[in-house]
Amino acid sequence: MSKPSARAVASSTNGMKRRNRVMVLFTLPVVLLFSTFFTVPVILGVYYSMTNWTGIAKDYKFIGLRNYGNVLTDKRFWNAIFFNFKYTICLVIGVLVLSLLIALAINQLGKSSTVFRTIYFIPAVLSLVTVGLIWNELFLRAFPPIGKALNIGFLSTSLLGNPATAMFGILIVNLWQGCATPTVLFIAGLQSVPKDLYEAATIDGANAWQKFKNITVPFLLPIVTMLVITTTKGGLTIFDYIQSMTAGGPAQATEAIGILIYRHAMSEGKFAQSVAESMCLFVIVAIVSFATIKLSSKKQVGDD
Amino acid sequence: MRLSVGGKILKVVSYAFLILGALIILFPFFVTIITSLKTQQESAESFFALPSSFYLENFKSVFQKAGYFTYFRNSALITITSVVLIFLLDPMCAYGISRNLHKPYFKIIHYYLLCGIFVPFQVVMIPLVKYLGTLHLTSQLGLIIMHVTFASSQAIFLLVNYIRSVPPDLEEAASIDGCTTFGAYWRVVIPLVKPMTMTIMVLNALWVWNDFQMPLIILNKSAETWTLPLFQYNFKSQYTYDYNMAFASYLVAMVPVLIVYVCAQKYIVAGLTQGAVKT
Amino acid sequence: MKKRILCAVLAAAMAASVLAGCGGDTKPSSSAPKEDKPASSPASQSTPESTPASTGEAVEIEFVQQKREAVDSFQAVIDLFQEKNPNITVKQSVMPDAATVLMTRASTNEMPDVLMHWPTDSQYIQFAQQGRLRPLDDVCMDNVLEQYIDVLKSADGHNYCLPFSCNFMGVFYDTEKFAAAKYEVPKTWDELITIAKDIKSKGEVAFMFPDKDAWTISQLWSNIEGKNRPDNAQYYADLRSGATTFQDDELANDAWKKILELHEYSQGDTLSLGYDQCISDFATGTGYMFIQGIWASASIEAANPDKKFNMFPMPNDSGDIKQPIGLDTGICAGADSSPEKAAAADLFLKFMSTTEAAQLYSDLDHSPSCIKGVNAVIPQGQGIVDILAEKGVLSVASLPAGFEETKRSKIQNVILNGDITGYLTEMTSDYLAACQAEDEQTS
Repeated sequence: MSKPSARAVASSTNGMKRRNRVMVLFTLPVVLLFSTFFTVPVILGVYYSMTNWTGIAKDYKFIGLRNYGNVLTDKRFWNAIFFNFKYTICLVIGVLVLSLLIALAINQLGKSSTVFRTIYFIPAVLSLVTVGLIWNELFLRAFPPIGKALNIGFLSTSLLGNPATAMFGILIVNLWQGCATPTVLFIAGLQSVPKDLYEAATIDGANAWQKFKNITVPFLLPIVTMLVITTTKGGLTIFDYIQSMTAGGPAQATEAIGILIYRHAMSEGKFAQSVAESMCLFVIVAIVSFATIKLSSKKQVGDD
Repeated sequence: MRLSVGGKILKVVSYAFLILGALIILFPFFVTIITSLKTQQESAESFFALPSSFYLENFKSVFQKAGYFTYFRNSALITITSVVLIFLLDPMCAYGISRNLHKPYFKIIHYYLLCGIFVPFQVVMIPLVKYLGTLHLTSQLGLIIMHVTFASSQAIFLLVNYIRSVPPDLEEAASIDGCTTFGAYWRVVIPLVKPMTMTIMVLNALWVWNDFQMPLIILNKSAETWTLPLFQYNFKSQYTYDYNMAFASYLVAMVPVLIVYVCAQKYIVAGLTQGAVKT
Repeated sequence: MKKRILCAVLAAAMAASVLAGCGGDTKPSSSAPKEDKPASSPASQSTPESTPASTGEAVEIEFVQQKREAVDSFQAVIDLFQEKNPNITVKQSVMPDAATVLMTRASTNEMPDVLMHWPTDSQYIQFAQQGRLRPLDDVCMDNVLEQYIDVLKSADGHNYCLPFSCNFMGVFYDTEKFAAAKYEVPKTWDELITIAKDIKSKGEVAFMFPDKDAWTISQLWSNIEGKNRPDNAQYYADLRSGATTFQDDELANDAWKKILELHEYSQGDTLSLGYDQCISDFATGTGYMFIQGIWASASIEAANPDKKFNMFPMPNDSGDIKQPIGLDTGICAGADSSPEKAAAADLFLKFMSTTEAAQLYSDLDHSPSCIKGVNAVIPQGQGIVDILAEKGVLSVASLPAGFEETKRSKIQNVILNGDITGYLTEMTSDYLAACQAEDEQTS
């Protein structure tokens, strides 16, 4: 009895080792790829942010943290950060509320919902640039006539042409496209709720709001967390829509941090400073994402 | 029959809300189609009027003035290769990590790879190009590598969580039955994580197909290597004084992905949601 | 001594070309410069056949070209070149967002063999300063009008760019609408405003402003101010030394007041209209006037081939104006080419600088040329071409890197809030900051 079992133990530890080695091998391609094509450029970026490189010059010198000093004292940088936060908050709320409403409505309908599901997901398959360009034309040529005809003041001129409303113009387009995937996810989340839970609650005399709050919401929370993280990142790093619709204008009203980085690097000859700006952006995105994850994981403990 | 009055009202409100929303979603497409079929003069007279005749010159110009099919082929090639590579590499890595999270190496690389989620693309944009240049990778190959690399953080994040929720019993049984670790992975784990893999592939296929910034800075040498979004942007800036033609080019750039969506709609939506919602 | 004689010859050549341009009759006038050529630059003709690249193997060179409207015009020149040099292929590529692409190409030491750049653009100036381009002094400068050579000399005394075509700004006007309303082309500012008032009183749009694209406002500024101060090199030097500021300068303030005055007669909501959209609208019939550079004429024509329009010079108060001539395209050679490609690129540049090539381009692009002996025939800019010989003044200000972009990013504020002094004050400090950054960069 003891002999074979000892052999079995020996072979299984051998097997374990082999298995372990294979597991390490499994991870290697991605780790190597990630290190070579992600980590190295990031480190290079950190280095360039401490030089006076213009991006064009053949030589440049190390100047320490001066670029960071310039960034942190630059009014444009803080304006851009402020814009991004304002925008991101609107975007996250807008995406969550709208897509949840759409999902609830579609879920209401049962079988006849397929058409709506198909339609509501279409924007997700299009490129941001195409969408931005089309809406750019719509804002100029389609909405003002409608606004004038219906006598709606803010619609009778282009939203994008007014610093006070330009952000909302971009937000509308972002929501038009950005709600598609969340809606689909919410529908799936709603359908994953076991029907008998609702029935049991009905028997217990719960009203619709109580059922929504106590049964539906817990099932949707993981999706909400994921959406908050991805949408926040999307809002903080927004670039394509703005570039194709206002390019930061009018009068810097929509100059998001992504646009500022791009402008500094590409046209204003402040390449190294723009890399420093992007490092600051990295820190901000990391802090915000980390905070979201922490907050939401605390909440989720409750339902587990 | 079983619906209460409240339920009926809710249904009507839902319908009204959804129909209004659907009109908003479809409105830009409507405008794109009618505009691309009109002449500039017609559009100048009325932006909303239906085209008086079937004016196809805009489309003719789009196809004549740019090598649309080359760009289409490039986009397809780059998207398919990237997605296949993502499928081959990421689940394997995520599997290794999720089954060994208690070991320091795997724990460290898990966090290491997750860092990528927080780094905005702008951060690495220029250093990346300089670096790819020295490696002679400012090409389609380089673009594919970069897409796969940038996709990995999110994919690992989603997959690790998913695989952890799948009990290891089945693969262990397969190992005992004489499967190699890879064999067990390929035959047992892959089918088990299929829902999440599908989600990731759909998300990344859409991203790679529509991506603009990365191809712009990486495919900076020859127009023959361009993808559809580059063609479209270039065409737009070259001929925007004629927005009817520009709209024709938008339509032409959207059509392939719309066709794929309509044909494979069920799989795309299912793929997207399967992984996200554990059942 | 030598220089002065050359100048005289060149001035004569230029005058001849401009005068010939006025005739509007292409055939006889294009024969005139051919007689000029041997006299003005005997060296220009001799080299092409004897360069190494023409001896054998096939070479392909890349020509990155960023003026989208001019793709076909450049291609015609390239075709002619390839006909004469069958072993060299010139591949013209037009990139979306060319500035970004060129920057990434520079950062990886992969500059294109030949590129078209704007000689006053800060990216070009940086390319030249940082050794990203090859000096062209001995390659193709012989047949260039002398006045363009000196102004484009880099700080190190070399020429890194073949100045190729020029441009000018003015006011496009719908000739049919003007005729129908019996308006005369305005000669002074007051006449312009009288017409605008009349148009407005009829409930129509006098001026189209594409203010969404901030660069057009910046151009409008120089368009108006340039009539009183066409050569602003001294002005910028004074600003740099602190002798004056934007906000204290009378002409700058005056120009801005006029910009705002013109906006009273605009289409309204000007900040929502982009340049391309504006061209499309003007071409299809909105508005009487569109204040732009001559470069827009090709696009207006393409957008509506039946449009009847012409251009008059932006007037000033007195009616006694100077007409600034700006540099449009310049052709440069990247510094990273292999010797064979560099030789082929030299041949191509040499060819571009011939009167034949420049004439072909000028005919297609409708722009004045920087090359000797070319007659510009510019149907939609005739109103200005006619006065160039007498009132034309070369206007080339090279600003510190990034200043123009910074200026543009803030310029829409004035249209919004009318705060001229505030904006000009901010411009002064931005200008000084950009100068300082430039000094640090070069030291």
